[in-house]
Amino acid sequence: MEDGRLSFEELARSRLVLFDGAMGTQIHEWNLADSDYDFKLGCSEILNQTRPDVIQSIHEAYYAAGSDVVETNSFGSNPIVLVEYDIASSAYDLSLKAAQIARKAASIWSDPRKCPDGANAAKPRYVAGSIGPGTKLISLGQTDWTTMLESYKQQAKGLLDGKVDLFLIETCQDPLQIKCALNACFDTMAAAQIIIPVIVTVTVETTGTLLVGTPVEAIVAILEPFDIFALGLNCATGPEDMRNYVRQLSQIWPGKLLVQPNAGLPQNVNGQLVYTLSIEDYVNTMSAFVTELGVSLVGGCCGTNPDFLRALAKELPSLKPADRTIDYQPSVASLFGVQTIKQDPPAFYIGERTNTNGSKLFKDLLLVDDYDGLVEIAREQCGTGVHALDICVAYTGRDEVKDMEQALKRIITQIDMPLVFDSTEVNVLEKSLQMYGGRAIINSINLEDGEARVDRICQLAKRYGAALIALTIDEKGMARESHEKLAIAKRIHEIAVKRHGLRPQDLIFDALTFTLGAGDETLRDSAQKTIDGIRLIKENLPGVATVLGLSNVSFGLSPVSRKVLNSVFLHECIAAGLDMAIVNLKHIVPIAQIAEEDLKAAYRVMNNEWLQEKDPLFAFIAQFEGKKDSEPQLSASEEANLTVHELLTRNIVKGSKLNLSVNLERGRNENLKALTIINDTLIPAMKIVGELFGSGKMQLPFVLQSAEVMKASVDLLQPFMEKVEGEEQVSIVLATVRGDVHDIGKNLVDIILTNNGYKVYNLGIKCEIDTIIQKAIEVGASAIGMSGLLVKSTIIMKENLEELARRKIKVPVLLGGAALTPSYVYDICTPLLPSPLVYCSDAFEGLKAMSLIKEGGIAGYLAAEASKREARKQARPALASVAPVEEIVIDRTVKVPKAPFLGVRHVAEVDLETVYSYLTEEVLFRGRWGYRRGSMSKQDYDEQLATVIRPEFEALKLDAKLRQLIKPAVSYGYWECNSSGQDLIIYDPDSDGQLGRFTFPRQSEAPFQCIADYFYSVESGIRDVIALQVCTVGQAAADESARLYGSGNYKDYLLFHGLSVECAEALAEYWHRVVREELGITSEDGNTIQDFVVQKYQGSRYSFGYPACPDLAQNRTLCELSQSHLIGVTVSDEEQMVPEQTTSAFVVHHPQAKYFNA
Amino acid sequence: MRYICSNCGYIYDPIQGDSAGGIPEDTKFEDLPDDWTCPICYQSKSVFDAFD
Repeated sequence: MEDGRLSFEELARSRLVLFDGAMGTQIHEWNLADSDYDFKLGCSEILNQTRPDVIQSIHEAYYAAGSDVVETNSFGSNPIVLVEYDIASSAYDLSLKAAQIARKAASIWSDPRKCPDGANAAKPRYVAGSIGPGTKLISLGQTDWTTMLESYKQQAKGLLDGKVDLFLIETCQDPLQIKCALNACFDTMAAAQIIIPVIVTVTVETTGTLLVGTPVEAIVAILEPFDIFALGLNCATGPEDMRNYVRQLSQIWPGKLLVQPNAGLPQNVNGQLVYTLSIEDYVNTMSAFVTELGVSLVGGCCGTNPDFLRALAKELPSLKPADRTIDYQPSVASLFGVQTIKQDPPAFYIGERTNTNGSKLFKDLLLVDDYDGLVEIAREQCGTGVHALDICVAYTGRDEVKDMEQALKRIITQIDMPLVFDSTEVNVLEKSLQMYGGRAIINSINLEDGEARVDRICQLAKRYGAALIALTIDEKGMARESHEKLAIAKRIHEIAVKRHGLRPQDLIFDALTFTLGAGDETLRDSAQKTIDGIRLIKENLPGVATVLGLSNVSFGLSPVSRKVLNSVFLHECIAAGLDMAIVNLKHIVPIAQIAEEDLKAAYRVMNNEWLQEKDPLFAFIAQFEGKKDSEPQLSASEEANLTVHELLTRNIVKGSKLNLSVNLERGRNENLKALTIINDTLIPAMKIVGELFGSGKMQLPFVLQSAEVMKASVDLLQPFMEKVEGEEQVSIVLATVRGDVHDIGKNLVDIILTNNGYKVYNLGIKCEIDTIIQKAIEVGASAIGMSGLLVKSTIIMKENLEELARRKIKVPVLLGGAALTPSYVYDICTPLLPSPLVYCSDAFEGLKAMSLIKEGGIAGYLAAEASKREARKQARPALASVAPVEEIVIDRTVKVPKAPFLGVRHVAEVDLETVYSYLTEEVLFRGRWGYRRGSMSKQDYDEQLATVIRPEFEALKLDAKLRQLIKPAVSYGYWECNSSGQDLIIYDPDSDGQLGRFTFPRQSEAPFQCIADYFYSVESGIRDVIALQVCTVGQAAADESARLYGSGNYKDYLLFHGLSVECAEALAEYWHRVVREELGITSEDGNTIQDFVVQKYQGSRYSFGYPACPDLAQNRTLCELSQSHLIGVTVSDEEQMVPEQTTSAFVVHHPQAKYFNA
Repeated sequence: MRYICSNCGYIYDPIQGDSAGGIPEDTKFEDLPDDWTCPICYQSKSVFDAFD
């Protein structure tokens, strides 16, 4: 540290402080050679070693511009990031060097004798040690706390040893990562006995949350307990888009504020990120942040350079920061939301059903390792009005750490309520806190076993920023008298605050509830004493909160009277200052709704009032004698009244796994055979699902959810199934036909049939008819099912039927696939096959056909359908014929656009958000996902869109991005070309010789179009141009689809598969636009995706396999010319591209070229 | 009422019909022949869904 100057903290308290701008953008300007990066491309930190001169000059440029503080070039200098470049062990060194380089620049610009811009430009300069978010999202389980803490410690130690003035934990995307980095900094400083300030900046995405979904107010709740000098925002968006979040922080964050925006939202121009904000706009908005919102630390992020900072530096001396009015209410938070501890109206309710002591169901599910079931209970509780959930998985003989880990892994990302970690085990609590990005409440501490355990848990609360429940119990036991309750609370308060640095607002005292229902003479006054205890604690320990486990008060009494007593007791506790209650809200009613006599009786027993020597407890019991709960049955008792059949039917139809294992177990305990349960209960339930689907009352994703429950049920029953000798199961051989890789439709049929008791032999994709026939003979199949998405597949199906007829295979055949029409199947295909042929528009039509086959009614059904079709045909009036087809005269004066380059280019990384913006959402929702509107009203459908479909869509997009499941890549290029008859000759850019040739069919009737016509011919002497493009979303998407299907997550499979397929389409549409831009032919472009769907652009994009160019074999030429193997796309022997989620196309620029059927 | 092709996003508008598919103006979706297909992606009528 330069001698005699103010510390950074003193400086920041005395005036506005200017940080620096972008580092990455500046490095980019240097156009460094690969060798400068030691061939570790993308690793900026290596430059600290190889090109310290470059880094130092960037720092100096910012100091010259007027920055007080520069940030070290150490964003990713920790092992988690560096391991990707095989230099994990250099983390400390690179961090140390980063700090030393910046320190050197600082000392030059602080020293009047050395300062290059003269003595007047010299002033104290500071160095912030930059710590970035790394490449792994800890909240999603991509790394763990111990690994990340260790990684950050190496970085922090390097920076601290290099003498940075402060730590800047920046660009944060995940609150758990922030907590981990903070602890690494604090641990490192404690070890070195040096204290410097820590600043945190988070990156709020355009969604208004961090990448993992945390909103600003939750970030404040999570970070407020930590010793952080300033909190702020950086990166992500430009300053204007940050304004709302800066305002929020300004109102609730108690410390200083730092804002470092990008130079506007990056625009994607031909795959390059370009920042568009003007310096003037930057300075104006930043100035407003200071003068209107009280921001006192300012700087820039991506895209800002020394010119931005120089302009801002000029402005700063004239700015007076606004006074902030800060109103922060102590709160707890989950990753997704926040709750203030003091609710208005009181109280803060903590759900008690996710607790082995609070719910038998929860315990039962835990005992069979049904962790997903635990999540269902948590989810169900969220809707009951609680503000947080108490999670307790303690059960004697089980591994509580493992159980907690398994439960939390699921709950943390699926439940948006803050959590209360309830355990007596320190290691269970610590593990929980290391997994939780939110701000938790620890439940609980007491002094029963002395102070050692209290010390340990207070340390945890401090380290992880949690709140803490403390019970008024000491070495002598539970405090019964109100003054004892206060005395113990004071003692714990002293330990927590004085010894461990917790604040009063972190503490929540439980004055203990005793039961009045048992008639214990010594407890007659206990309710009153608890109420007094609450009042005393609140009066004597300002700032703390109070909590109570409520329902104990009425233990042993009848359910209807318990409700009344609990409610009255809660009411009085709240009046005395109770802030929180652990309670099942279903057992609480508003005081106003309680009958007066009931109310009086409850008050008497609570206050222990003996009227004319009459025992108030007996009077209370007598008051409720024979009374039944008049309200709708509680769900728990309701469940008890349902039969196993009803319960399981509900499981299937609702698609809920809640209690599934318990219900099945109950069925087996009633001596029902596994097969009986399946045949008499589960399959009929699936039939209901099928009927709901058929009548448009249930959509595909919910059907799959039901099928998942069905599968889970059958899996659970499997061990108890007896093999029935001699009984033959009705079976089907199922395949996607030759040349087609699309298997989602066929797999849906498999799911539905398998889960309805049919044996399915699923032969997969690209299946030759020989293979299908062989399998059908081998297993004696009752039916064959053929599927395919391509138009071409309908032809293959027809050929296959001819082959079946030729080989005299006499089993019924089911056909399905989007390109089939009933008239094609019944009018053209049926005559080819002697055995029954059924058109199945969806999986349940397939189920219906199978059940007809099983019962022998298929022929009769088909005959009846045929006569119905005939009747309809006759009833329909012939459509008026349209005008005769006009001849097409092709314009031969069209100007050939200039290709930006000839040959191939590869774009390995395309921005996923841009691809998302080209998605045809209607197609994704209604087509791929099957959220069809059907007979729903528009209003109902819109509501479903807003409440179900869109949230799923957003979550899935985010997940795919975070887990890098969709990785768009393109290989494309331009070639000169000429037509020659129906052929198109592609010229080699290097030799000008012929590189390849496409052949296109001509329409057999007017207007006799052929794609080749839309290019200049060899004879014209004019070279034309064609673009080819291959677009893929990568192998990871195909793998994830297969994984989800294989693991029985049918709904997730459907959703993810659909998204990935549509992303490949969106990418093609996007890249077609890029090609038009590069060719300069965008003047006819429409404005929306919907316009592009109907080809509102100049020319056309054709893919082989479609009617204008049906020959799929030529796709191989297209892929070879585009060198698609370099983005991982290959063409199989069946002319299909692998991975599946890939599209290829050629782009014709001629304005008259549109789709047609050749 | 208009209907949308859930495979490609084409919207069938009864006022316009589908000249390429030989469907005159003012033809209701319900009255389209069974073997009519989407003019953009050639999928069958059954993939269409009510739009407004």
